[in-house]
Amino acid sequence: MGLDVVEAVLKFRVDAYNILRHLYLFGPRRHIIDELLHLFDRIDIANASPDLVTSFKLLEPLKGLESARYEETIERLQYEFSRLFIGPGSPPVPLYESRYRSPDSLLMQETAIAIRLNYLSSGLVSGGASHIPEDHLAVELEYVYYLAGETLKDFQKNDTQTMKDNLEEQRNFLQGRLDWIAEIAERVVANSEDSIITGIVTFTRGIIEEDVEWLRTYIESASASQPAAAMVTRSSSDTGAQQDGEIH
Amino acid sequence: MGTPEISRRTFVKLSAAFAAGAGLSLGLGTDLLNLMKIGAAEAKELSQQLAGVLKKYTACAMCPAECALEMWIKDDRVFKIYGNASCPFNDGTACAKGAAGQQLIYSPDRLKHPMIRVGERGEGKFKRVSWEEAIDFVAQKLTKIKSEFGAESIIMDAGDVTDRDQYYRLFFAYGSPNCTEHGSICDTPRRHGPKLMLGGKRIEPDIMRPVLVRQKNGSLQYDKQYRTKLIIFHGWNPFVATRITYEGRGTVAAKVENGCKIIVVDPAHTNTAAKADMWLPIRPSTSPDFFAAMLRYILENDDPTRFDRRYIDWGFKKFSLGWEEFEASFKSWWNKSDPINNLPYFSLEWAENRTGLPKEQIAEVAHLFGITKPAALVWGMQSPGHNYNGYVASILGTALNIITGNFDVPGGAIDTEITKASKGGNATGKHFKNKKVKRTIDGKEIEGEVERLHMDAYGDWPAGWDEVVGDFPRRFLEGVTINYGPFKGHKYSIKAFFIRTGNPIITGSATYRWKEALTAKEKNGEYKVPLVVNIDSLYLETGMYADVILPEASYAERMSLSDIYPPHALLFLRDAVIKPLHECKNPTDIMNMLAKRLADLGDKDLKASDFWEKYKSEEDFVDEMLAGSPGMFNIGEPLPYPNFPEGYKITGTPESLEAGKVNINHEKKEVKGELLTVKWLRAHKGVAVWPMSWNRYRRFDKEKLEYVPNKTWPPTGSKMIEFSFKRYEQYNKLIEASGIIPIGLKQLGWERYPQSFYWFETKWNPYTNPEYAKYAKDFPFQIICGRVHHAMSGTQLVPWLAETPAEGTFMPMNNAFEYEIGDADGKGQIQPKRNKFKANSWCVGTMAMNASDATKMGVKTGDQVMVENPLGKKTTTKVFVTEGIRPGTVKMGFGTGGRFTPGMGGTYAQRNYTPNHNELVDPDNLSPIMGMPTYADMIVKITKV
Repeated sequence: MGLDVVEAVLKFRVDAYNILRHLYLFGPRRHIIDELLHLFDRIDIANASPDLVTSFKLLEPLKGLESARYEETIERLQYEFSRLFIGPGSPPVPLYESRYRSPDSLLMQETAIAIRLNYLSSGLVSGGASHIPEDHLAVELEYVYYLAGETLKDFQKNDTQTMKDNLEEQRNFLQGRLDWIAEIAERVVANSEDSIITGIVTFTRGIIEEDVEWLRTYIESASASQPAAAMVTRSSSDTGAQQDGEIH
Repeated sequence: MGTPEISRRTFVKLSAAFAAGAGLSLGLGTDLLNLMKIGAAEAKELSQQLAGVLKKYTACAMCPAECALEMWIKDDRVFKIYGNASCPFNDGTACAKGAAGQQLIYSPDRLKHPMIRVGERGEGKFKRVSWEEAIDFVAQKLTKIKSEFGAESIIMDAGDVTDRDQYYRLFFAYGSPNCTEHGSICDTPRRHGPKLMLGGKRIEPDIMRPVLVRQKNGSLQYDKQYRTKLIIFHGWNPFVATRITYEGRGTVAAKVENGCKIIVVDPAHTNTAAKADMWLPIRPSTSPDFFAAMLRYILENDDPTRFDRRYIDWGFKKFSLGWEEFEASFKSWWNKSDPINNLPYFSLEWAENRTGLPKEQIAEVAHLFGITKPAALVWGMQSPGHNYNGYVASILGTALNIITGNFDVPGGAIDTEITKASKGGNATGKHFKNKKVKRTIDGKEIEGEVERLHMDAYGDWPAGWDEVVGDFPRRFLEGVTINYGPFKGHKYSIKAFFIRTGNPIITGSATYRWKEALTAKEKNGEYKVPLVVNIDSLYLETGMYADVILPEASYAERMSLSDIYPPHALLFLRDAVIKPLHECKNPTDIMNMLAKRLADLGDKDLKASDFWEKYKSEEDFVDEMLAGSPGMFNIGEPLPYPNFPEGYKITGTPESLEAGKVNINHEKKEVKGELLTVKWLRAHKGVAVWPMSWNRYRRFDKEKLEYVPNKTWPPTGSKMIEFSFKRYEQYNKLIEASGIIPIGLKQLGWERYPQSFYWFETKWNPYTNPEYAKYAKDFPFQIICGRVHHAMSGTQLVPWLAETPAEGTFMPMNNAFEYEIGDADGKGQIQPKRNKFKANSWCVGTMAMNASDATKMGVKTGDQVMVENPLGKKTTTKVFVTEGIRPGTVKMGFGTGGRFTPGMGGTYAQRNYTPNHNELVDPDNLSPIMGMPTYADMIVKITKV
């Protein structure tokens, strides 16, 4: 085990959050679902958390579907996704954090404003083609995706201090903000009998929870082993630490 | 150098292949989609600004009053809403609806993304798509429809709020003349008399204060004096149900400051009646009867020699045409006997029998109106606006205001349609309707202008002016036949229906007929109307029947001009004070996207120079709308601009006109100052105000030393007040050329539109029309309907308003229900939870019923009843028992019940026991001149459930 392991995890995180932000922004389109299924190939299911195991079991049947049936399922998923998360009307599982935290159940309330400060702290503002409020799940996931990418770059540049700051911001954000994913997952279970959608949100919750724990462990370990400055230092000798099989 | 120990918590499987190559190799894009990187300095500055507050000026759209607002924006979020004190229309006030705007703007129930239907129409099953997909879907269908059926097969209904010009422009250019808005199915009979006689639409009391007035010393000052001494509100309830919002505060102010007397004639004791000196609970659907009796009384009892009988100001004759014929036609009925009661028409006894009011009261009101000056007689939207014969009432009401000398005098009756500033100009694209097109009719190729294909104006309703398209559902089912003009004999089907911010399934004609029309299928299984597109910020019932939903920016996120009715030229901006939320787009962007896609698909009628290259922003579009503003005439007393020639048309900013920075064109009789622009408005708190004047139909002739008609205004054909209905002549010419009698005239037994006063009975009234007398016993209640202050769709779903009662037809009489809101968890945290609303804590649509009727039926407040009309159509409701309604009459609110779209928030939970009034409307009973649904003519029986 060596630093390549760390790099692999960091790359995995980038890919996972990239898929999730696309998924919650655009809905379950085929190419996104394809990528999600591929991602499972990189997860150590045998040792993963119950949520990841459950989501694997729920989503795995998609892999065996023949093409026409797969397309049909995707079409059904798109409707179910709209019904649950988008509307029109009052969707049972709105994807805006303010909806769950504001006194009037409105959007764009203090929660959304507070998140702007998170984004600004990393030099980001809302500025996409649309103006989806900043507390939409997809935007929050995109923020983590961005930070995950920056962390990977920091790692590759040996910029340990910035990497430390980024990792801590991610841990805090995932713990203090994105914890509402638990509410989302519970609502989906209560409001949908669709195993695929249930699998998707369970996977999202599972990834976030695993990631929080990984971040906690990693930051603590790094701090313990590198109390002075660098959390991670790469050297040529570390590249040989890569090993086949799973990491335990 | 150590390595962090991570082996305990790594869930990633790491084979050599994965470790070496995995990551950042997905088929998905890697660019940021919602977030954007900015520089550190800018980020720091923005962080500091988050504490700042910006005041922005805009216009409301929580109801059609569109008051001027000041919105406080913090962190690009609206957090406070106040009235704009710089705008005299609402003079700094904001009602509960306006102040609750955030709950609509930030409603989680808003439409957020483009969607395409995946289930059957009405099931409400949609999938999210991109804007490109949605626009392409619509454009492909439009291209096919235009090619196969002609552009006229499209209806664009721009609904119930303003900011519609972009859609008109798009579809006029596309080639359809069938663009309309909610006004066409709202109250056309109410507006008919003023249109015929004054070229206007809306007669209102002169009680908007302050008004900017030229002083003798040449300066401009705000005049705050209320001069009105009497207002008769007939079926008009300005305290809750009018877009002329200044009438609420103006009525109270005129009472307090000028001793103005208020008379309310209405079957229901409305909020306005509560402020009145006299309430006359008239029988429904008898407004023309009441006005006719007033006019007869005034004509019979007028005596210029007696100060207490000097009712008529005969000076009006100099400024009008056709009074003698009108009077003669009116009087010709006096000796006829009404078959319903064998009494002479329009006599006090006759009116007593028909209206159910004591003849002494009718005489007293007529006398008071005749003797009190200045006064205003105002009539309402529901009745007579929604009566089959409402035209007669509005003609009589207009005549009464004119002959008593109250028209356009200080404190009198102002037609606000023709005094407001003009806006829109070329932006609306009406010129596209002049384009020549060819159609093959009976084997012959015929050429004519696009506008001659209009489904109503050249179809069954030639007098359906102002883009009135009222005969909707029938058209969807039966198609259109052109009866008049060059395209006579041309038939076409309606193949696409665009409904924007309107909800006709609940508010236009009968709900069941709309559902039938939008779900009817051809033999091949396709819908008869193969494309229905809903453009809105809200998900209303009609949206459930759409194939495509395009989410439009809310009123705080788009730019346009308020559509208001002040007594003089005044304009204010609806500014985009925040960016469009979600994936919503403003009308200009939607227009441009669809125009461009149509052009890409080969439609040569949609040109870059008319759309996406011409209007690169909303501001470009609104600037063009403003180019002709105010378009007022320099007329009346005091003359608005004494330094400019009298009678000339004025355009330009108030500032430039005041400074004399103008060009005067004597040939065209125009004075042009600097163009009014969005930029100018923003620099002036969003508001432009030009001077008020009165008596705008006359000028002082210095040679004759008397007032004479100025022949500039009012905007009738003759530029005089017209008691002879010259406007009808153009339609009669069409009839003569075609030989086809319009269906409405056939119903009346007429061959032509009359040239002067006319009379006919309403329908579904057993007490005035002998044809319906047989129903009186089995259907003993007349049902009326009125708008409730905050019971429009966009306000019902606002929780703050849903908990505020209104007038008996929107009361906290809910069954217990659960609805999710955020709530404190006891630890200072707000958590979502399904809140249990106790019974009688949330306002729902109800039916008001007189206490004596309720006692007879053994019904008490809160009891559930079934309401059924003679057509066998039913709706259910809870009863609100009150003394404040005429016995034998029941009242519901418009659109307050049976709301079956989940987009209605907490109101959706009440759908099964609240009344949908439109289920009781007779969809085949269209008012005979303009073809509008007659919401106010119906009788019912009521049974306890």
